[in-house]
Amino acid sequence: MVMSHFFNMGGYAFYIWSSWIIGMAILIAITWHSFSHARSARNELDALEHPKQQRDSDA
Amino acid sequence: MLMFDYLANPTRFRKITTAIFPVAVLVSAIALTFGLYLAFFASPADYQQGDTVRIMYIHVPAAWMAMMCYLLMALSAVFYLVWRHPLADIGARAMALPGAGFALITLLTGSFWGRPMWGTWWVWDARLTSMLILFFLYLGYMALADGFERAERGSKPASLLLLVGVINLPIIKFSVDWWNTLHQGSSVLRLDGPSIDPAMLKPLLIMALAMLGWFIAITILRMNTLIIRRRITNLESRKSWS
Amino acid sequence: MRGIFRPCFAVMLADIRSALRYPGDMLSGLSFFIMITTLVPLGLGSDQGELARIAPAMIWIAVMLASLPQMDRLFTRHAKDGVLEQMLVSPAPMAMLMLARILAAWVIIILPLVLAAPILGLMFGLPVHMLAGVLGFLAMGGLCLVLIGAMAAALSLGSRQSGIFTAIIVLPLSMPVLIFGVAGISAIQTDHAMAGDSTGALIGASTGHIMLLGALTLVLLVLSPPVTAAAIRFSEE
Repeated sequence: MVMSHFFNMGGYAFYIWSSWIIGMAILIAITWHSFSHARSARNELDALEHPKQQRDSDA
Repeated sequence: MLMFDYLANPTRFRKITTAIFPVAVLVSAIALTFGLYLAFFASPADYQQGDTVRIMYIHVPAAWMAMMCYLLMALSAVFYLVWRHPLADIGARAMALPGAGFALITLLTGSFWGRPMWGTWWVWDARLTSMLILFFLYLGYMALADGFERAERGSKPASLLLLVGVINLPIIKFSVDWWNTLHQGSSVLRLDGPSIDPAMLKPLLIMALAMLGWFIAITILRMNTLIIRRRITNLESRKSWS
Repeated sequence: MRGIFRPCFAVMLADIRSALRYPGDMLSGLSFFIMITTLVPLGLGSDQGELARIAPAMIWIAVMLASLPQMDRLFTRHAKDGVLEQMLVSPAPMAMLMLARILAAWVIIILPLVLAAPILGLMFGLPVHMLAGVLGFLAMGGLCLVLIGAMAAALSLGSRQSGIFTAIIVLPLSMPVLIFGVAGISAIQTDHAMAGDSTGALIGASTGHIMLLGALTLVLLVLSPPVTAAAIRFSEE
């Protein structure tokens, strides 16, 4: 009862939860994008600086 | 300027940012937890807006961040164009995507607030239009900065665009404000109407702190990525020369 | 002083002359402009009152859209054949040369549209006595558009898809021009409704608008030529 009352948000549940979910989703997407780019850049640099290790890991 | 000279050394920059990064992440996480609690449990529903006021706790801080981020980028552009320091350009580039994200969050959450409160998803209100234009300016900057074959070729025009944008933003804001008074009738209800309750100000500020921490951490991460990318292009061009 | 102005005049004359040599380019913008303004009433319906009400906004938007593709090409040809490089090494200040180009571009791109606008205004049911005011607003706002367009074209010079970038850059910056321009023409309408007779084209509320648009033009006149010059310099580095 209390939980459903909380999620109902005085009848504005759709608007309130949508905006928080979308907002958080955008922040999480940017976070993920930044981390994945950081990782791929670091890997590429490693491959350039230590070409041998790269070949080992490929094999 | 002094700070920039100090940070100019890449290893020193790396050392300082690796020290700041975990602090920013920690501050952001704690503030987010606390802010969510305040926003959803420990704050009252507004007597006029009802529970939709809880949208404000993500909407308003995002709007602050979107504006602050653009100003920081413009400041970096000045540093870059005047003192030609690549780190300033890297900073502006790193901030562009988070800034655009904040502008987008502001627009979307504002829309979700406007639907129940104003009865429409969008009104051509002065504030809304200015934020939309800010979002376009972010997109324009990103497109221009990354729009050239050689990555660094876009730096100067894009920095120049940031400065033009910063001069134009007040003009745009003024013109839209003024246009809005011409087309009266849309903005009846506004957040800045009644003075804000401290019980609502607190979650607002805490959420702003959470976003600031996130922004700092992400900017550091993206700056380091861009620095690595430049080193990669340098190494590759050296390789092709040798 | 004459030493500065002579190369500027030369640049301006050369630009206009080369544009006149290929009148097709000028006509393409004009035909685009006419096309937009013809299609709108066909889509909207032929209610005269409605058309007269939206006429100012429509003419403005048509001018913006019709001038945009031509602004893209403002510097591309001269970037290729080395004229811009010559301008950079010439002793004349680059910003002044750019101002000359911008004024020439106004003559080439905007002037035909401004001259065509009264005819279209009449077709949209704007009263004859308003046309002088419309011409004035379009001429001044058109200068703003060229000033913005030159900046955008110079900034995106040499990029992969300069057309799109120019559009992304131009549209947000030219919003005040649209707002003041449309409001100004609308104000002429209401001024005439208030005054009741047809004396004087610019009285009352429209005076305020033309001053605001004038202020914006002055800001852009100071801002745009140096920015354009700097952007060209970056592209030639």
